[in-house]
Amino acid sequence: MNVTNKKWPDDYFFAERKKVLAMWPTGKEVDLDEAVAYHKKMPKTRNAALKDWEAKEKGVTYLWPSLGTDSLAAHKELLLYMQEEGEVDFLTSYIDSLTRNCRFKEAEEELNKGKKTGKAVLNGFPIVIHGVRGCREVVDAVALPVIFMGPTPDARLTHEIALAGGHTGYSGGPLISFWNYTKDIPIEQIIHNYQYTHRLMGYYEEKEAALLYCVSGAMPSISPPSLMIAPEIIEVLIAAEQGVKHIRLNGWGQGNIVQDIAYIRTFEELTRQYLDKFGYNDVRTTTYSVNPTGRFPTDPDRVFALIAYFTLVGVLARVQGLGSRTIDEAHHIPTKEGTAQSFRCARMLINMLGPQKLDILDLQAVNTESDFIKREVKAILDKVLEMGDGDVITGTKRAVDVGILDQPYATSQLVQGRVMGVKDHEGAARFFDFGNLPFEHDIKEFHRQKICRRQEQIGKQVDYDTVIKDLTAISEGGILPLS
Amino acid sequence: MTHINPVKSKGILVTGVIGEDVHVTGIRILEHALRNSGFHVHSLGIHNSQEDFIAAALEKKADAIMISSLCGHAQRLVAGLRDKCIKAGLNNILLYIGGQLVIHPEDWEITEKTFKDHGFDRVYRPFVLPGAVIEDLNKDIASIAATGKEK
Repeated sequence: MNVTNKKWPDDYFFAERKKVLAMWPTGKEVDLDEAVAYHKKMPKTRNAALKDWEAKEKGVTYLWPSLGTDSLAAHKELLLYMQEEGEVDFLTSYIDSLTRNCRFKEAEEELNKGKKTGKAVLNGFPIVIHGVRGCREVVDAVALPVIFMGPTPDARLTHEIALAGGHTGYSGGPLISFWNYTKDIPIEQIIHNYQYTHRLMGYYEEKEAALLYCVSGAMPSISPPSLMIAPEIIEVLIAAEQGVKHIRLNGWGQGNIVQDIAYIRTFEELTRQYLDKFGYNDVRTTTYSVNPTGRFPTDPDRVFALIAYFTLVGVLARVQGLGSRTIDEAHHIPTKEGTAQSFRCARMLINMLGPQKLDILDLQAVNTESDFIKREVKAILDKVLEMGDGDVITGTKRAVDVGILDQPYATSQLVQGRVMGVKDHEGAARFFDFGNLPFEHDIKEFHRQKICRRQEQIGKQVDYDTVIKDLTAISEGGILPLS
Repeated sequence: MTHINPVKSKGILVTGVIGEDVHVTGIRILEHALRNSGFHVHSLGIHNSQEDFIAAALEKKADAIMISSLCGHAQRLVAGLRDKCIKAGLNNILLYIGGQLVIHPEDWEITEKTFKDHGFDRVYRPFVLPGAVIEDLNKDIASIAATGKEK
């Protein structure tokens, strides 16, 4: 498969569409021109791309919960509840994992099982099974914009149905899906699937129906920010080439305020540079931040503190959007009450801090951190482009093979997995192992010196023991291990 | 901190997660540490069956199969593995397992005995450190070599 970063010609796209729409009977419900007309008739207040951009113009921070349950009635009830009780600004349809893996028949069976017992079996909203009409039934029942979400190697049919069904955005992407949601699917195949979904979004945009694409890049596992920004910018460039116009950048907080803020500030700036370099000047970007993945504390009191903490980091970094984990997710799939409580906590913090416009983006420590992040990201991306003879997709494939693009703890067997992070004395993520990253000596020295400070603090060499303790530190009660 | 390419391998290992379990962090750290200690690691990643481990062990002439499981269903997933190994001709292969092996909390001695009865040479608690595993591996591989049992 020879995949390059070139906009798909119409005839190729429409030939692919025929195959995709035939993957499940509800594909027949999609009439693209009718869907575009439906989007254009929708009130602007229900469009995620426009509302997200409005946050940037107004200088405010909006809240994005993750929501998804199986039946139309239950999903609608969940969204309405969050709209009324959760003080959020956007709503979402999180796709169940069977649908995400294109196991539609099984998703349908599980949905029916749930209908019989009245207890949800699926862990999300099976968009493809509900079809265009089902999605519209939910989306038209609420006043807030709804996007659908969930990384997956093949979201093509889900896009067709979700977008025609009135969702105005999607969160997920080819690289995050490759690192964390596959075992042996080649990256070029996943990117090809996303070129399709981006081209579809681009088609809506050409007809002046705005859609929001939320890139994800890579999940953090004590990851220095360059490990997340580089894949994220690659996702942006792949989407922009196919005609996506509104992009929300995703920043995963990890807990060190200076590093998290430097990360969010820097990656928007760098994304702009790379978009302009390739001539995608009309692509708009916003920023979003969310709590780290990985283990969280089990008791709600501590999780409330973390929700407030990561909300604070996002507001200080001036993000337009904030997501959050919930107080009860350590125990079960989050309840609607638990989710609403969590987001009201975040809302209170935004309402306190938001109007103060506290300016800490220019702190010396933030600047130093930003400078290193920029140099690291550029070193990685410039090498990727060089390896691809200027083509970002060709370069990505080659760079993954040799670990120029690398991730710790990936599920994919095609990832080198040589890089590894550890926390420094202040809980910022540093490179324990640089793997094959193309960094200059002084960048490596910066990380090593920070790790030396940690070694002085703990009175021993940083080793695998440290790495393991760091990975669970937050769930055990602090940014650094307590013992 | 650097990645060492061993001149002479200390042993050949097949690693991976068994069953429909996607938890991968623990085994990735262990693989990283094993490679840096001079072992040749053939990683199978997530979603493996007993047969996958056996086929890889035969192909790679492995000294040990190292299984990670975090979903709590390990007992069901590994039942009969030792017999299948012997049937496949892997008479002296070392079998190691670690992770969150049971769903309900029970005394560690009971869990350990359960898996030793299933034919495992080493059974590890959650959050065991790579150093301890590497020490055991060195001992166990040396002991097999000393008794002259050739594979």
